[in-house]
Amino acid sequence: MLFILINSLTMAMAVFLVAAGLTLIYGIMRILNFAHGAFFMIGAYLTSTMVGQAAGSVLMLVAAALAAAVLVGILGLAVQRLVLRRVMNADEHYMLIATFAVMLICVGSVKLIWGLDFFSVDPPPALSGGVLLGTVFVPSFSLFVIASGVLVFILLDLLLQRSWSGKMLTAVARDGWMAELMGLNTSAWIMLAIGGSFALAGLAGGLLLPNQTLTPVLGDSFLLLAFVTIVMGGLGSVRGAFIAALVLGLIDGLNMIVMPQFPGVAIYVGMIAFLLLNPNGFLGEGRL
Amino acid sequence: MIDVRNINAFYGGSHVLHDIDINIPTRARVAVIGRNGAGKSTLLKSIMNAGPRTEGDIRWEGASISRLPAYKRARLGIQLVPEDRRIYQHLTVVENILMSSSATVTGRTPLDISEMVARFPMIGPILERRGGQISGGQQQMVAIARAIACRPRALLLDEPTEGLAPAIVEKLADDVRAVAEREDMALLLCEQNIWFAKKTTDRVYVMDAGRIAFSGSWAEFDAQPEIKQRHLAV
Ligand SMILES: Nc1ncnc2c1ncn2[C@@H]1O[C@H](COP(=O)(O)OP(=O)(O)OP(=O)(O)O)[C@@H](O)[C@H]1O
Ligand SMILES: [Mg+2]
Repeated sequence: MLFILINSLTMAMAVFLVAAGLTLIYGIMRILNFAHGAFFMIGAYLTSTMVGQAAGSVLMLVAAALAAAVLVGILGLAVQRLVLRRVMNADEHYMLIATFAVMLICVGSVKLIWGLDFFSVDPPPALSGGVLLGTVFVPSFSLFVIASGVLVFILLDLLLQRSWSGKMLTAVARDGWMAELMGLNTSAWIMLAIGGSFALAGLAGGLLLPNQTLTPVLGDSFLLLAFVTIVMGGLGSVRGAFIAALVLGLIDGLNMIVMPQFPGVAIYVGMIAFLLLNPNGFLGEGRL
Repeated sequence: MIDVRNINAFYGGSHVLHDIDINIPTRARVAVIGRNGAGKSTLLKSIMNAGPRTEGDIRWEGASISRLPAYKRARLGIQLVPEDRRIYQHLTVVENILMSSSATVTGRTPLDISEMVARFPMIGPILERRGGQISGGQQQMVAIARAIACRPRALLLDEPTEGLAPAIVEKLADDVRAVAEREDMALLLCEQNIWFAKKTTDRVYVMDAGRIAFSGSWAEFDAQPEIKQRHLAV
């Protein structure tokens, strides 16, 4: 039971880490970024290149993930300048197609740079074992993922809700026209937020790297769950995404207990049922 | 200070302002009055580059600003208070007011909150309320206070009396008049409420269907009742 709970929480926080950046970019630009999963994957590949076969220490893994976040953030700024900026005022279908194209380019580039072979990275030694909680053996890496998810959530929430910059960013997202009239350079703020969103994708890729099998389709599996999360959370809301990720994790845990022969089904059934009951998500759309 | 020279403004294909010339000297107080749809808001938005496509020249202190984005015009010291006020609901009144500090003109210090309350006593009791929890009249006060806080050199006010009770309109007229006299600042007011416009400004332009139909002092305006008949009666 506790084992399943820990598993659920691990999955929930892994999904939240990916969903955080996705919901941020939606909150700012009202854009569903199909390329997000691909940048998550690039973050993972970059981190693997930095740490090699196994991360030497937890610190090294975190440092590599942060470096990957910065690099992916910079890539994100390039994507903004070259692609997103041009389709920003166009119909949303164009935005979807544009981000889809970016995704294909990313996947292609990953294949060219890192090849098609599967490879994987072991957790650093300090995280490769586990701890006994009562009678249950809990992998240390799961605890690391849970802690990372909670930490990223707390920092992001404080930044957006409490800090003056977060309040300004929210103001730009909610009424950019007025913000501009008050002297805010709204395009610079939007750049910053988009860079942040991509950086979060890169960070998630780096932190979740150990125990993953790195393949050029790594992005897809996470992207789907992350989309479910941000839709349930109320598009654009970081808090909503956090709650939704927890709910999804727990639903998946129940799924394991009740119908272990059909893994993963309950999440989608749960999402459909939830959206029928509450189409605006937990915290309502756009509550960035 | 603001010199609008022969501007034409468009929304997509529709031509809204026709060959408008308006001049606002330093520290002058000028009103633009006109019926619904005359183009008053469009004029203010053209001055800020915040919406319509504008052709023609807009000058600030003699230099053309026609190519500057809205935020740079704001930072020159031009503040627009839009007709729909646009107070941020997620921010408190204080935070709304502090937000304009990015537009503070170099060399000027933004007004602090106690100085704001001295100028607009109505906002004193509601400083910590969120923008979503204050009345329409209070929102108008906060919107003006927010624009004043960054010590602009020119204030563009779009129909501040719209939807306000008569008693509030009177208070607002006193506060706006006092602020305009006290601050080193020009005022360009768009209004349909002639009483309010007279009380707060010295000169008036009458706008009809996107053109200037009259300009002069309020005494000249009063001396020609047919202007009101022809261009303002509904
Ligand atoms: N965003 C827009 N797109 C297209 N047309 C617009 C837009 N905004 C205003 N118009 C049109 O431009 C004309 C002038 O509008 P404007 O808002 O400037 O008038 P106004 O004098 O401010 O009126 P009111 O007193 O009702 O505020 C109107 O005919 C209006 O329908
Ligand atoms: Mg108007």
